[in-house]
Amino acid sequence: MSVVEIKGLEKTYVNGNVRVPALRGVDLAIEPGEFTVIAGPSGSGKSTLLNLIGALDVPTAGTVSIDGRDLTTLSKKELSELRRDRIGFVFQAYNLIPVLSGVENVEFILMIQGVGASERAERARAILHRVGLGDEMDRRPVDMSGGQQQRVAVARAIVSKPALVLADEPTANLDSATALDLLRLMAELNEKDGVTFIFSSHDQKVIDGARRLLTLRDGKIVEDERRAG
Amino acid sequence: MAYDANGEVASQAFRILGTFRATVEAYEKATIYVALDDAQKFFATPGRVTEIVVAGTDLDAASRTAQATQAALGDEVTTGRAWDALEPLVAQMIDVSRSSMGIFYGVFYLAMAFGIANTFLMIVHERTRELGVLLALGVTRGRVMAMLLFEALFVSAIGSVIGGGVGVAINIYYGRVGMDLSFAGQGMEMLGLGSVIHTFITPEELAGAVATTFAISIVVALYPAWKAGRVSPVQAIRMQA
Ligand SMILES: Nc1ncnc2c1ncn2[C@@H]1O[C@H](COP(=O)(O)OP(=O)(O)O)[C@@H](O)[C@H]1O
Ligand SMILES: [Mg+2]
Repeated sequence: MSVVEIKGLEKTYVNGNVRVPALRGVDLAIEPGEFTVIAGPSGSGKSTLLNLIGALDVPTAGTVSIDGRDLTTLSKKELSELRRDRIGFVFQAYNLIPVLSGVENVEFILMIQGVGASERAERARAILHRVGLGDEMDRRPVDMSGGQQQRVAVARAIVSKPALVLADEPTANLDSATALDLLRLMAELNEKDGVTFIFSSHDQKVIDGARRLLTLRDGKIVEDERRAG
Repeated sequence: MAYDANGEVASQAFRILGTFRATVEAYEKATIYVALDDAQKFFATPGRVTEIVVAGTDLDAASRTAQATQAALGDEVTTGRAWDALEPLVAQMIDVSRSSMGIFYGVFYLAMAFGIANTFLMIVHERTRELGVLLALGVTRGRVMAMLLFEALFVSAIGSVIGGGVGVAINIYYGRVGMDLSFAGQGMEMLGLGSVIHTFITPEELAGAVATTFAISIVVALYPAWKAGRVSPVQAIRMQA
Protein backbone atom coordinates (compact mmCIF):
# COMPACT_ATOMS: atom_id res chain seq x y z
CA MET A 1 0.00 0.00 0.00
CA SER A 2 1.21 3.50 -0.80
CA VAL A 3 2.12 5.72 2.14
CA VAL A 4 0.60 8.67 0.35
CA GLU A 5 -2.07 8.55 -2.29
CA ILE A 6 -3.32 11.75 -3.86
CA LYS A 7 -6.19 12.02 -6.32
CA GLY A 8 -7.42 15.06 -8.22
CA LEU A 9 -5.98 17.38 -5.59
CA GLU A 10 -6.85 21.08 -5.91
CA LYS A 11 -6.25 23.96 -3.57
CA THR A 12 -7.44 27.50 -4.13
CA TYR A 13 -6.70 30.17 -1.53
CA VAL A 14 -9.45 32.73 -1.11
CA ASN A 15 -8.62 36.13 0.34
CA GLY A 16 -11.73 38.26 0.10
CA ASN A 17 -12.42 38.54 -3.63
CA VAL A 18 -9.01 37.26 -4.66
CA ARG A 19 -8.79 33.57 -5.54
CA VAL A 20 -5.31 32.12 -5.88
CA PRO A 21 -5.24 28.64 -7.43
CA ALA A 22 -2.16 26.99 -5.89
CA LEU A 23 -2.75 23.37 -6.93
CA ARG A 24 -4.75 22.50 -10.04
CA GLY A 25 -5.24 18.75 -10.11
CA VAL A 26 -2.43 16.66 -8.67
CA ASP A 27 -2.36 12.84 -8.78
CA LEU A 28 0.46 11.11 -6.96
CA ALA A 29 1.40 7.99 -5.04
CA ILE A 30 4.42 7.72 -2.75
CA GLU A 31 5.68 4.26 -1.79
CA PRO A 32 7.32 3.34 1.53
CA GLY A 33 11.07 3.94 1.49
CA GLU A 34 11.03 6.51 -1.30
CA PHE A 35 13.22 9.59 -1.22
CA THR A 36 11.29 12.21 -3.11
CA VAL A 37 12.21 15.80 -3.85
CA ILE A 38 9.54 18.23 -5.02
CA ALA A 39 11.17 20.87 -7.16
CA GLY A 40 9.73 23.90 -8.88
CA PRO A 41 10.00 27.65 -8.90
CA SER A 42 8.82 29.79 -6.02
CA GLY A 43 5.02 29.96 -5.99
CA SER A 44 4.57 26.72 -7.92
CA GLY A 45 2.70 25.11 -5.00
CA LYS A 46 5.37 23.03 -3.22
CA SER A 47 4.51 24.21 0.30
CA THR A 48 0.80 23.90 -0.41
CA LEU A 49 1.24 20.29 -1.52
CA LEU A 50 3.33 19.39 1.55
CA ASN A 51 0.84 21.09 3.89
CA LEU A 52 -1.98 19.06 2.40
CA ILE A 53 -0.03 15.80 2.65
CA GLY A 54 0.80 16.71 6.26
CA ALA A 55 -2.85 17.28 7.16
CA LEU A 56 -2.09 20.86 8.09
CA ASP A 57 -4.58 22.27 5.61
CA VAL A 58 -7.68 21.04 3.81
CA PRO A 59 -7.97 20.68 0.02
CA THR A 60 -10.49 22.56 -2.09
CA ALA A 61 -11.10 19.39 -4.10
CA GLY A 62 -9.68 15.87 -4.34
CA THR A 63 -8.34 13.53 -1.67
CA VAL A 64 -5.17 12.78 0.24
CA SER A 65 -4.80 9.37 1.89
CA ILE A 66 -2.09 8.47 4.38
CA ASP A 67 -1.65 4.74 5.11
CA GLY A 68 -4.83 4.23 3.13
CA ARG A 69 -6.92 6.58 5.31
CA ASP A 70 -8.68 9.39 3.49
CA LEU A 71 -7.87 12.57 5.45
CA THR A 72 -11.18 14.22 4.59
CA THR A 73 -13.00 11.55 6.63
CA LEU A 74 -10.99 12.18 9.79
CA SER A 75 -11.94 14.47 12.69
CA LYS A 76 -9.61 17.24 13.87
CA LYS A 77 -8.53 15.11 16.78
CA GLU A 78 -7.80 12.15 14.51
CA LEU A 79 -5.79 14.43 12.24
CA SER A 80 -3.76 15.63 15.25
CA GLU A 81 -3.09 12.03 16.22
CA LEU A 82 -2.15 11.15 12.67
CA ARG A 83 0.38 13.99 12.57
CA ARG A 84 1.70 13.00 15.97
CA ASP A 85 2.07 9.28 15.24
CA ARG A 86 2.56 8.90 11.49
CA ILE A 87 4.16 12.05 10.13
CA GLY A 88 7.44 13.79 10.95
CA PHE A 89 7.93 17.44 10.05
CA VAL A 90 11.08 19.41 9.30
CA PHE A 91 10.51 23.10 8.69
CA GLN A 92 12.57 25.63 6.80
CA ALA A 93 13.08 27.79 9.90
CA TYR A 94 13.83 24.73 12.11
CA ASN A 95 11.03 25.81 14.48
CA LEU A 96 12.42 24.13 17.56
CA ILE A 97 10.80 25.08 20.85
CA PRO A 98 13.16 27.83 22.07
CA VAL A 99 12.88 27.17 25.82
CA LEU A 100 13.77 23.48 25.45
CA SER A 101 17.22 21.96 24.88
CA GLY A 102 17.89 19.85 21.82
CA VAL A 103 17.24 16.63 23.73
CA GLU A 104 14.06 18.02 25.24
CA ASN A 105 12.81 19.11 21.81
CA VAL A 106 13.16 15.54 20.59
CA GLU A 107 11.70 14.11 23.80
CA PHE A 108 8.70 16.38 23.40
CA ILE A 109 7.32 14.27 20.54
CA LEU A 110 7.63 11.12 22.63
CA MET A 111 6.07 12.89 25.57
CA ILE A 112 2.91 13.81 23.66
CA GLN A 113 2.80 10.19 22.51
CA GLY A 114 2.79 9.14 26.15
CA VAL A 115 6.19 7.45 26.25
CA GLY A 116 7.66 7.17 29.78
CA ALA A 117 10.39 9.57 30.92
CA SER A 118 13.40 7.26 31.02
CA GLU A 119 12.66 5.62 27.68
CA ARG A 120 12.12 9.10 26.22
CA ALA A 121 15.52 10.37 27.26
CA GLU A 122 17.24 7.22 26.03
CA ARG A 123 15.58 7.25 22.62
CA ALA A 124 16.08 11.00 22.18
CA ARG A 125 19.80 10.80 22.93
CA ALA A 126 20.25 7.77 20.68
CA ILE A 127 18.55 9.43 17.73
CA LEU A 128 20.49 12.68 18.25
CA HIS A 129 23.74 10.70 18.15
CA ARG A 130 22.39 9.05 15.00
CA VAL A 131 22.03 12.44 13.29
CA GLY A 132 25.56 13.36 14.32
CA LEU A 133 25.09 15.53 17.40
CA GLY A 134 27.24 15.24 20.52
CA ASP A 135 27.30 17.46 23.56
CA GLU A 136 25.51 20.22 21.63
CA MET A 137 22.27 18.31 22.11
CA ASP A 138 21.95 19.69 25.64
CA ARG A 139 22.09 23.30 24.45
CA ARG A 140 19.12 25.42 23.65
CA PRO A 141 18.42 26.21 19.98
CA VAL A 142 19.81 29.77 20.27
CA ASP A 143 23.17 28.33 21.23
CA MET A 144 23.33 26.04 18.20
CA SER A 145 24.29 26.68 14.59
CA GLY A 146 21.62 26.46 11.89
CA GLY A 147 22.96 23.08 10.78
CA GLN A 148 22.83 21.74 14.33
CA GLN A 149 19.30 23.03 14.81
CA GLN A 150 18.16 21.37 11.61
CA ARG A 151 19.74 18.10 12.73
CA VAL A 152 17.74 18.34 15.94
CA ALA A 153 14.67 19.00 13.80
CA VAL A 154 15.41 15.90 11.71
CA ALA A 155 15.89 13.87 14.90
CA ARG A 156 12.58 15.20 16.21
CA ALA A 157 10.90 14.21 12.94
CA ILE A 158 12.17 10.62 12.91
CA VAL A 159 12.32 9.72 16.61
CA SER A 160 8.82 8.24 16.67
CA LYS A 161 9.44 6.17 13.50
CA PRO A 162 6.77 7.88 11.40
CA ALA A 163 5.48 6.50 8.12
CA LEU A 164 6.86 9.54 6.33
CA VAL A 165 8.86 12.70 6.97
CA LEU A 166 7.84 15.93 5.28
CA ALA A 167 10.39 18.71 4.93
CA ASP A 168 9.56 22.03 3.30
CA GLU A 169 12.81 23.51 1.99
CA PRO A 170 14.83 22.11 4.89
CA THR A 171 18.12 23.43 3.53
CA ALA A 172 16.98 26.91 2.48
CA ASN A 173 18.41 28.60 5.59
CA LEU A 174 21.73 26.71 5.48
CA ASP A 175 24.95 27.46 3.65
CA SER A 176 25.63 25.04 0.78
CA ALA A 177 28.20 22.86 2.60
CA THR A 178 25.87 22.43 5.60
CA ALA A 179 22.96 21.88 3.22
CA LEU A 180 24.82 19.05 1.50
CA ASP A 181 25.68 17.49 4.87
CA LEU A 182 22.02 17.54 5.85
CA LEU A 183 21.04 16.07 2.49
CA ARG A 184 23.58 13.23 2.95
CA LEU A 185 22.19 12.59 6.43
CA MET A 186 18.64 12.31 5.11
CA ALA A 187 19.77 10.04 2.25
CA GLU A 188 21.54 7.80 4.75
CA LEU A 189 18.52 7.67 7.07
CA ASN A 190 16.49 6.74 4.01
CA GLU A 191 18.83 3.97 2.87
CA LYS A 192 19.84 2.44 6.18
CA ASP A 193 16.80 3.11 8.37
CA GLY A 194 14.16 3.05 5.64
CA VAL A 195 12.74 6.51 6.47
CA THR A 196 10.38 7.79 3.75
CA PHE A 197 11.19 11.41 2.90
CA ILE A 198 9.29 13.94 0.86
CA PHE A 199 10.85 17.33 0.72
CA SER A 200 10.75 20.43 -1.37
CA SER A 201 13.69 22.41 -2.61
CA HIS A 202 14.74 24.76 -5.32
CA ASP A 203 18.43 24.23 -4.60
CA GLN A 204 20.01 22.46 -7.59
CA LYS A 205 22.49 20.49 -5.45
CA VAL A 206 19.64 19.10 -3.37
CA ILE A 207 17.60 18.33 -6.48
CA ASP A 208 20.55 16.43 -7.96
CA GLY A 209 20.53 14.11 -4.94
CA ALA A 210 16.90 13.07 -5.35
CA ARG A 211 15.93 9.45 -6.04
CA ARG A 212 12.56 10.58 -7.28
CA LEU A 213 12.13 14.07 -8.59
CA LEU A 214 8.72 15.67 -8.96
CA THR A 215 8.65 18.99 -10.74
CA LEU A 216 5.77 21.34 -10.04
CA ARG A 217 4.82 24.27 -12.19
CA ASP A 218 1.78 26.46 -11.68
CA GLY A 219 0.17 23.95 -9.37
CA LYS A 220 0.65 20.89 -11.59
CA ILE A 221 3.19 18.08 -11.68
CA VAL A 222 4.98 18.54 -15.00
CA GLU A 223 7.63 15.85 -14.48
CA ASP A 224 7.96 12.71 -12.37
CA GLU A 225 11.40 11.19 -12.71
CA ARG A 226 12.86 8.17 -10.91
CA ARG A 227 16.61 7.79 -10.81
CA ALA A 228 19.01 5.11 -9.75
CA GLY A 229 20.66 5.68 -6.34
CA MET B 1 -23.83 74.99 88.42
CA ALA B 2 -26.98 73.55 86.78
CA TYR B 3 -30.72 73.02 87.17
CA ASP B 4 -31.68 69.90 89.05
CA ALA B 5 -34.69 67.62 88.42
CA ASN B 6 -36.98 69.91 90.38
CA GLY B 7 -35.97 73.02 88.45
CA GLU B 8 -33.94 74.34 91.39
CA VAL B 9 -30.56 75.83 90.82
CA ALA B 10 -27.97 73.44 92.15
CA SER B 11 -24.33 74.22 92.57
CA GLN B 12 -21.41 72.34 93.90
CA ALA B 13 -17.63 72.50 93.79
CA PHE B 14 -15.71 69.47 92.40
CA ARG B 15 -12.03 68.78 92.56
CA ILE B 16 -10.57 68.08 89.12
CA LEU B 17 -8.76 64.78 89.21
CA GLY B 18 -7.75 64.73 85.59
CA THR B 19 -8.54 65.83 82.05
CA PHE B 20 -9.27 63.67 79.01
CA ARG B 21 -8.64 63.87 75.29
CA ALA B 22 -11.43 63.00 72.89
CA THR B 23 -11.08 62.68 69.14
CA VAL B 24 -13.48 65.59 68.85
CA GLU B 25 -12.73 68.83 70.64
CA ALA B 26 -16.38 69.71 71.19
CA TYR B 27 -16.81 66.68 73.45
CA GLU B 28 -13.94 67.79 75.64
CA LYS B 29 -15.49 71.23 76.11
CA ALA B 30 -19.03 70.10 76.94
CA THR B 31 -18.49 66.97 78.97
CA ILE B 32 -17.38 66.23 82.51
CA TYR B 33 -17.24 62.87 84.24
CA VAL B 34 -18.36 62.56 87.91
CA ALA B 35 -19.19 59.55 90.08
CA LEU B 36 -22.79 58.30 89.63
CA ASP B 37 -23.64 58.85 93.34
CA ASP B 38 -22.47 62.46 93.22
CA ALA B 39 -24.39 63.13 90.05
CA GLN B 40 -27.61 61.65 91.49
CA LYS B 41 -27.21 63.81 94.59
CA PHE B 42 -26.42 66.91 92.59
CA PHE B 43 -29.44 66.56 90.29
CA ALA B 44 -31.73 65.41 93.13
CA THR B 45 -32.51 62.14 91.25
CA PRO B 46 -31.62 59.40 93.71
CA GLY B 47 -31.48 55.92 92.18
CA ARG B 48 -32.19 57.09 88.64
CA VAL B 49 -30.16 57.15 85.46
CA THR B 50 -31.10 58.87 82.23
CA GLU B 51 -29.14 56.71 79.86
CA ILE B 52 -27.59 53.27 79.64
CA VAL B 53 -25.01 52.79 76.92
CA VAL B 54 -24.27 49.29 75.71
CA ALA B 55 -21.05 49.00 73.72
CA GLY B 56 -20.78 46.19 71.18
CA THR B 57 -18.41 45.14 68.40
CA ASP B 58 -20.83 44.24 65.62
CA LEU B 59 -22.37 47.21 63.84
CA ASP B 60 -25.21 45.21 62.35
CA ALA B 61 -26.23 43.63 65.67
CA ALA B 62 -26.84 47.02 67.33
CA SER B 63 -30.60 47.26 66.84
CA ARG B 64 -31.09 43.71 68.10
CA THR B 65 -28.98 44.54 71.14
CA ALA B 66 -31.06 47.67 71.74
CA GLN B 67 -34.32 45.69 71.59
CA ALA B 68 -32.99 42.96 73.82
CA THR B 69 -31.73 45.47 76.37
CA GLN B 70 -35.05 47.23 76.45
CA ALA B 71 -36.93 43.94 76.81
CA ALA B 72 -34.67 42.89 79.66
CA LEU B 73 -35.15 46.11 81.59
CA GLY B 74 -38.91 46.22 80.95
CA ASP B 75 -41.07 49.25 81.79
CA GLU B 76 -38.22 51.03 83.52
CA VAL B 77 -36.89 52.06 80.11
CA THR B 78 -38.83 54.39 77.89
CA THR B 79 -36.90 54.17 74.64
CA GLY B 80 -34.22 51.75 73.47
CA ARG B 81 -32.45 52.90 70.39
CA ALA B 82 -29.48 51.71 68.43
CA TRP B 83 -26.62 53.93 67.40
CA ASP B 84 -27.95 54.33 63.87
CA ALA B 85 -31.11 55.94 65.22
CA LEU B 86 -29.07 58.21 67.45
CA GLU B 87 -26.58 59.12 64.71
CA PRO B 88 -28.51 58.84 61.45
CA LEU B 89 -25.89 60.85 59.58
CA VAL B 90 -23.13 58.44 60.51
CA ALA B 91 -25.37 55.49 59.67
CA GLN B 92 -26.07 56.94 56.27
CA MET B 93 -22.42 57.61 55.67
CA ILE B 94 -21.57 53.99 56.40
CA ASP B 95 -24.31 52.88 53.99
CA VAL B 96 -23.02 55.15 51.25
CA SER B 97 -19.45 54.07 51.77
CA ARG B 98 -20.48 50.42 51.66
CA SER B 99 -22.24 50.77 48.34
CA SER B 100 -19.50 52.97 46.92
CA MET B 101 -17.01 50.31 47.97
CA GLY B 102 -19.10 47.87 45.94
CA ILE B 103 -18.78 50.10 42.87
CA PHE B 104 -15.10 50.58 43.58
CA TYR B 105 -14.52 46.83 43.75
CA GLY B 106 -16.50 46.36 40.55
CA VAL B 107 -14.38 48.90 38.68
CA PHE B 108 -11.24 47.45 40.20
CA TYR B 109 -12.05 43.86 39.19
CA LEU B 110 -13.09 45.02 35.73
CA ALA B 111 -9.75 46.79 35.24
CA MET B 112 -8.01 43.66 36.47
CA ALA B 113 -10.00 41.49 34.04
CA PHE B 114 -8.96 43.68 31.11
CA GLY B 115 -5.36 43.62 32.27
CA ILE B 116 -5.32 39.83 32.44
CA ALA B 117 -7.12 39.41 29.12
CA ASN B 118 -4.68 41.79 27.48
CA THR B 119 -1.66 40.01 28.94
CA PHE B 120 -2.83 36.62 27.76
CA LEU B 121 -3.81 37.87 24.32
CA MET B 122 -0.27 39.25 24.04
CA ILE B 123 1.17 35.94 25.15
CA VAL B 124 -0.85 34.09 22.52
CA HIS B 125 0.10 36.62 19.86
CA GLU B 126 3.80 36.45 20.67
CA ARG B 127 3.77 32.69 20.64
CA THR B 128 1.71 32.23 17.49
CA ARG B 129 4.60 30.50 15.76
CA GLU B 130 5.39 28.15 18.62
CA LEU B 131 1.73 27.35 19.08
CA GLY B 132 1.44 26.64 15.34
CA VAL B 133 4.44 24.31 15.55
CA LEU B 134 2.92 22.47 18.51
CA LEU B 135 -0.31 22.02 16.58
CA ALA B 136 1.58 20.85 13.50
CA LEU B 137 3.50 18.30 15.54
CA GLY B 138 0.24 16.78 16.67
CA VAL B 139 -0.58 18.46 19.97
CA THR B 140 -4.37 18.67 20.02
CA ARG B 141 -6.17 22.01 20.13
CA GLY B 142 -7.73 21.02 23.43
CA ARG B 143 -4.33 20.45 24.92
CA VAL B 144 -3.00 23.78 23.67
CA MET B 145 -5.99 25.50 25.28
CA ALA B 146 -5.52 23.56 28.50
CA MET B 147 -1.86 24.57 28.51
CA LEU B 148 -2.78 28.24 28.36
CA LEU B 149 -5.47 27.93 31.02
CA PHE B 150 -3.03 26.13 33.25
CA GLU B 151 -0.59 28.97 32.76
CA ALA B 152 -3.31 31.45 33.72
CA LEU B 153 -4.06 29.41 36.81
CA PHE B 154 -0.39 29.30 37.72
CA VAL B 155 0.17 33.02 37.18
CA SER B 156 -2.94 33.99 39.11
CA ALA B 157 -1.96 31.66 41.96
CA ILE B 158 1.41 33.37 42.24
CA GLY B 159 -0.25 36.76 41.88
CA SER B 160 -2.79 35.95 44.60
CA VAL B 161 -0.12 34.84 47.03
CA ILE B 162 2.04 37.92 46.45
CA GLY B 163 -0.91 40.33 46.23
CA GLY B 164 -2.66 38.83 49.24
CA GLY B 165 0.56 38.86 51.26
CA VAL B 166 1.35 42.50 50.48
CA GLY B 167 -2.28 43.47 51.10
CA VAL B 168 -2.38 41.77 54.49
CA ALA B 169 0.98 43.31 55.45
CA ILE B 170 -0.24 46.83 54.59
CA ASN B 171 -3.46 46.12 56.43
CA ILE B 172 -1.68 44.99 59.57
CA TYR B 173 0.66 48.00 59.42
CA TYR B 174 -2.17 50.52 59.20
CA GLY B 175 -4.13 48.52 61.72
CA ARG B 176 -1.35 49.07 64.25
CA VAL B 177 -0.12 52.52 63.30
CA GLY B 178 -3.36 53.93 61.92
CA MET B 179 -3.86 55.90 58.74
CA ASP B 180 -4.02 59.63 59.47
CA LEU B 181 -6.57 61.27 57.18
CA SER B 182 -6.61 64.66 58.94
CA PHE B 183 -4.79 66.18 55.95
CA ALA B 184 -7.96 65.54 53.96
CA GLY B 185 -9.92 68.01 56.08
CA GLN B 186 -11.79 68.13 59.33
CA GLY B 187 -15.11 66.88 57.94
CA MET B 188 -14.91 63.60 59.82
CA GLU B 189 -14.65 65.37 63.14
CA MET B 190 -17.89 67.24 62.56
CA LEU B 191 -19.61 63.88 62.46
CA GLY B 192 -18.01 62.92 65.69
CA LEU B 193 -15.55 60.58 64.04
CA GLY B 194 -11.80 60.51 64.42
CA SER B 195 -9.53 61.24 61.49
CA VAL B 196 -7.21 58.29 62.08
CA ILE B 197 -8.35 55.02 60.49
CA HIS B 198 -7.28 51.68 61.84
CA THR B 199 -7.63 49.11 59.08
CA PHE B 200 -8.48 45.46 59.49
CA ILE B 201 -9.31 42.58 57.18
CA THR B 202 -11.22 39.43 58.03
CA PRO B 203 -10.14 36.01 56.74
CA GLU B 204 -13.47 35.87 54.86
CA GLU B 205 -12.71 39.12 53.04
CA LEU B 206 -9.23 37.92 52.13
CA ALA B 207 -10.48 34.55 50.91
CA GLY B 208 -13.24 36.28 48.95
CA ALA B 209 -10.79 38.60 47.20
CA VAL B 210 -8.39 35.78 46.34
CA ALA B 211 -11.20 33.53 45.09
CA THR B 212 -12.69 36.33 42.99
CA THR B 213 -9.30 37.14 41.46
CA PHE B 214 -8.74 33.48 40.71
CA ALA B 215 -12.15 32.99 39.15
CA ILE B 216 -11.81 36.14 37.04
CA SER B 217 -8.36 35.07 35.79
CA ILE B 218 -9.66 31.73 34.60
CA VAL B 219 -12.82 33.09 33.01
CA VAL B 220 -10.93 35.89 31.32
CA ALA B 221 -8.16 33.55 30.07
CA LEU B 222 -10.77 31.41 28.31
CA TYR B 223 -10.88 33.70 25.29
CA PRO B 224 -7.10 33.89 24.72
CA ALA B 225 -6.93 30.12 25.29
CA TRP B 226 -9.63 29.61 22.69
CA LYS B 227 -7.66 31.81 20.29
CA ALA B 228 -4.52 29.78 20.99
CA GLY B 229 -6.38 26.62 20.00
CA ARG B 230 -7.49 28.29 16.77
CA VAL B 231 -4.03 29.28 15.54
CA SER B 232 -3.56 28.04 11.99
CA PRO B 233 -0.37 25.94 11.86
CA VAL B 234 0.10 26.70 8.17
CA GLN B 235 0.03 30.45 8.70
CA ALA B 236 2.05 30.27 11.90
CA ILE B 237 4.83 28.32 10.19
CA ARG B 238 4.74 30.64 7.19
CA MET B 239 5.72 33.45 9.59
CA GLN B 240 9.38 32.71 8.90
CA ALA B 241 12.03 34.35 11.00
N1 LIG C 1 -2.41 31.67 2.62
C1 LIG C 1 -2.38 32.00 1.34
N2 LIG C 1 -3.25 32.91 0.85
C2 LIG C 1 -3.21 33.24 -0.45
N3 LIG C 1 -2.36 32.77 -1.34
C3 LIG C 1 -1.45 31.86 -0.93
C4 LIG C 1 -1.40 31.44 0.44
N4 LIG C 1 -0.42 30.55 0.57
C5 LIG C 1 0.15 30.42 -0.67
N5 LIG C 1 -0.47 31.21 -1.55
C6 LIG C 1 -0.19 31.30 -2.99
O1 LIG C 1 -0.28 30.01 -3.53
C7 LIG C 1 0.72 29.81 -4.52
C8 LIG C 1 1.57 28.61 -4.13
O2 LIG C 1 2.30 28.95 -2.94
P1 LIG C 1 3.28 27.92 -2.23
O3 LIG C 1 2.58 26.63 -2.06
O4 LIG C 1 3.79 28.59 -1.03
O5 LIG C 1 4.43 27.77 -3.32
P2 LIG C 1 5.96 27.39 -3.12
O6 LIG C 1 6.11 26.72 -1.81
O7 LIG C 1 6.25 26.50 -4.28
O8 LIG C 1 6.73 28.65 -3.20
C9 LIG C 1 1.50 31.12 -4.60
O9 LIG C 1 0.98 31.88 -5.66
C10 LIG C 1 1.21 31.76 -3.27
O10 LIG C 1 1.27 33.17 -3.39
MG1 LIG D 1 7.30 27.23 -0.15
